[in-house]
Amino acid sequence: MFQRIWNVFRQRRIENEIRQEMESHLAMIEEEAQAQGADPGEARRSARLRFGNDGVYRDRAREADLAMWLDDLLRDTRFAVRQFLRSPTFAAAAVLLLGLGIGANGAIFTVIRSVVLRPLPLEEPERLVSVVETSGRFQTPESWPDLVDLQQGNRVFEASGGFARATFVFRGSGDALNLKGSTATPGYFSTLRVQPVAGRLFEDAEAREGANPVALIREDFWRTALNADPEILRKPILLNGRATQVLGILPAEFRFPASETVIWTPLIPQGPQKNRGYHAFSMVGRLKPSVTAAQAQTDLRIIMQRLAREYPEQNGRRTAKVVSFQDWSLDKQLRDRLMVLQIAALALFLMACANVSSLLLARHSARRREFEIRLALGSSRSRMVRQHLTESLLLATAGCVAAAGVAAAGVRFLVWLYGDEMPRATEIAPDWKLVLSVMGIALAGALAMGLATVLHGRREALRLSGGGGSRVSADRAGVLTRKMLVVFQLTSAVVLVTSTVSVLDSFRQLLHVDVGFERSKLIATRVNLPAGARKNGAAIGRSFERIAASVRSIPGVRQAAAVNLLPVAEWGMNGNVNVEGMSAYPAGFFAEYRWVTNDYLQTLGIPLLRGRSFLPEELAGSQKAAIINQTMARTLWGDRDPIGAHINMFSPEWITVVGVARDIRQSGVTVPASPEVFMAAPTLPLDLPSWTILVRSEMPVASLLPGIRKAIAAEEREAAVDRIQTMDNVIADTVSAQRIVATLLASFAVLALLLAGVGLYGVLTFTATARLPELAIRAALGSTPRGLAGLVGQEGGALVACGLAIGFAAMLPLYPLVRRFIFEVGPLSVSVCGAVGTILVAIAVLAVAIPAFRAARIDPMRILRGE
Amino acid sequence: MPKHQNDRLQGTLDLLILKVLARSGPLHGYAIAQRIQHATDEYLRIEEGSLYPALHRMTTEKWLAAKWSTTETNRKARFYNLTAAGARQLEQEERRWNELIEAVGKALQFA
Repeated sequence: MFQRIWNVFRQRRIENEIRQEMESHLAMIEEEAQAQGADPGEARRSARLRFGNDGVYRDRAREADLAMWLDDLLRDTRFAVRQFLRSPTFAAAAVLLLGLGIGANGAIFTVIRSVVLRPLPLEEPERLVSVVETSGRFQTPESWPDLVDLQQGNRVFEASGGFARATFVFRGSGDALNLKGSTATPGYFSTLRVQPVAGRLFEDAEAREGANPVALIREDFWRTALNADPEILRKPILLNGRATQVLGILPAEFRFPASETVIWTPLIPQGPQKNRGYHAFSMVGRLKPSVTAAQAQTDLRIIMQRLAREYPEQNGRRTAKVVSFQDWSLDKQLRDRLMVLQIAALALFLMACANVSSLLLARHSARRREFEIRLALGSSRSRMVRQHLTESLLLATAGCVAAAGVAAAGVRFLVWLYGDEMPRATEIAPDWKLVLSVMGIALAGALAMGLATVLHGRREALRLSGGGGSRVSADRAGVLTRKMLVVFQLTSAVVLVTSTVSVLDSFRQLLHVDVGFERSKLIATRVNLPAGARKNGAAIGRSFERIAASVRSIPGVRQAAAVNLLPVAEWGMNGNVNVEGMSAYPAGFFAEYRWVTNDYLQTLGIPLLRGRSFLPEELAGSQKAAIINQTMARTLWGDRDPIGAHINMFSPEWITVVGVARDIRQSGVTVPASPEVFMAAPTLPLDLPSWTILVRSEMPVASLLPGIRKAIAAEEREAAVDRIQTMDNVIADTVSAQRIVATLLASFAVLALLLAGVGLYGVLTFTATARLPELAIRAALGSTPRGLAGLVGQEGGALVACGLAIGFAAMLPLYPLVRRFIFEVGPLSVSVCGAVGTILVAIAVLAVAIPAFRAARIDPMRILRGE
Repeated sequence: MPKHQNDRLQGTLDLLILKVLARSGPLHGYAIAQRIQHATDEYLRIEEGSLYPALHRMTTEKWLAAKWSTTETNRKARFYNLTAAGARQLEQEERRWNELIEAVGKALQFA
């Protein structure tokens, strides 16, 4: 480095030396001329002429020394900037292409790195694992007794804990607020090794039945919702209608089990939650040092085998699986989707590079004259190589700057899009190492592109010196390279667009899938009751029965009902079902449970296939009855009639099956119906205070809203009402992640089409220009405009055919990969391929038509004279 | 490997410069041009535009050593002297030149 700087000064000296040497030479000539009596001025002038081009002389003299390196760099940069200013369209296009290509990749990779790759912000996260139970092909959380047995029986964990997600109604100064939170055992916090920023964690005594209610809150929640109340640890807050003591404040970055978790209360199982068949609790453990996850799984499976022997009814087919806590807390689908987007972005980047290369080559050809002249005037080759490299480096640098902007905006956009679905969205931040490596790669790429152009230029120069350099001889190697680049772009576009269209198509089907009930003109609103104020589940159920009745009486409402878990959007409350007198009982069978008010099936429009709806005494809870769904009836009873059969679930009390309802997709639009039991609201055995009110009405949502709020408030003053949504929106929200992927892929695909079109247009325009003299001669010899356009069109047609053929051929092996990574994408359909082919051909026709049309209109005389 | 093997004209200029310096010791650019002109009876005129680049190039190739000094007329000038590498180069170039002459002569005789 010092050498370089020193050389800049040395350069002055060398230039001085050269000037002095010339001066003394000229002086000597004058002296001699004087001695011979000639005109010294004339002699000096002729000598100066003989010194020739000052620039060439200095160029050659200088090259001898590396000293000029830095100076030349500045000079080259200035020259390059001037060049780009002279063709701003080219420069802007290249910078934009590189910026989009690099930026999109940077954005997606930043998200992947933050969300998927970076370890969790916990102490020694690699030792944290999650334990899930499996029953056949289903994965479930642990039941409370299983959790206790696993925690006590294992020899592999240093610490372990159980937890479950929960919602709370919090009443601060204003309206009641729904909070997302979690219940957790004291072991949960010691396993994750979180330290409160103020106060303390739970103690074992506080996690027992009958203990005074306590809670932990997250720091940012304390700051925003509680206005950083300094007295928070001394005075109780009103949570679920009960005065609850806040014991401690956890750091804002502690977002487990979910990013929206702001509050934790002790996990105290009640009633049926203590049953071995009631699976609702997740388990996290910290492996002892030197114990691997595989060893832990073996150890836990031994315990599960013992439990399966001891409790064959509940645990007969159950075993345990150990997964890393990081994987567990990350939605696997999200990771796959991000990967798909990353691959699409990479393809886009390669297309952008191909386009820029193509642009550079075209520009190089257009500047051939300039380089010819410079070579002829004695410019040295290395000087021209440097010029090329400087230009591509300058482009890459500008592209990187643009990319940084695109990436920053892209990350923000992705976070905004994925928002709640991304578990670690708050951790996403630009990563300087990443930025630097991306820039490094981009610059290396630029050097490669520059060198490619130069090497190409060398061949050309050789041909020039061979004497054949005329405008007619089209730059064959360059054209071939550019054609290959265009075919590559068309191929990528086919792959990207076909995949995207398949994804969009399946997404469209997903939106219109028959969920099994009438989804239009149906409104859903979640209502939370402060559970603590109610004594038990029965009281909650009766409250919702009253609320539903009150809503039903609003003018314009046709039907209304309440359910504890909104179908399609919410599920997962399930467990074993026993049938009286049934011996050949399918092992591992379990059913979804839902508690519903009067008119639930009618409101959703689910027909009863057999039996009847609940009678008033059943709805009141004085007599126990259940309605089951079709799948459950078929699975357990086959062709026999289940009406009148007795079943029980979490208590030994027998319940009579009174009806069979048609299946609906209760666990999500993509999941086929699973066995389900409906029970009357007042038989709710737990205090589950969060229900959804369903309203069927012809009236617009906005006009119904005040009435619904008033009706709810009339029955339950303390109820917290969430926003009111149409069922269509609820269902659309359940597939919002798919929608995001589909939208992003679609925008990538549009870009890909654009790139391919521009690439095709560029190369055809260029070859047509290079062929102008040939076309002119043809025109002069009588070729029709149609024939001329055909010539150009043929060239384009061959390229498009090539690109489409390779692209569709590539789809055959690639498509299974797409299907593996993206939600229910159907098999590659002919109609999709046809549609993609049509779109591409339409764009290609446009890209080919312009240069072809131009070729048809050429004026042969003007061109031939110009030759 | 000498750089300008195929470039006869340039090679010839190099050869002439080397030969002149081998004969007469350190000389400045002007004197080198003068010597060549006189030696060839004014047949070869050395263009300054070629001479100085050649001198610089040969200095970087380390065939010549250059240093500033004063002329008889008390003028500052850069004097060039032959190095050992330069002497070897001269030997090679001379041999190659003679081979070329011989070859061309034969061709003219028998072709």
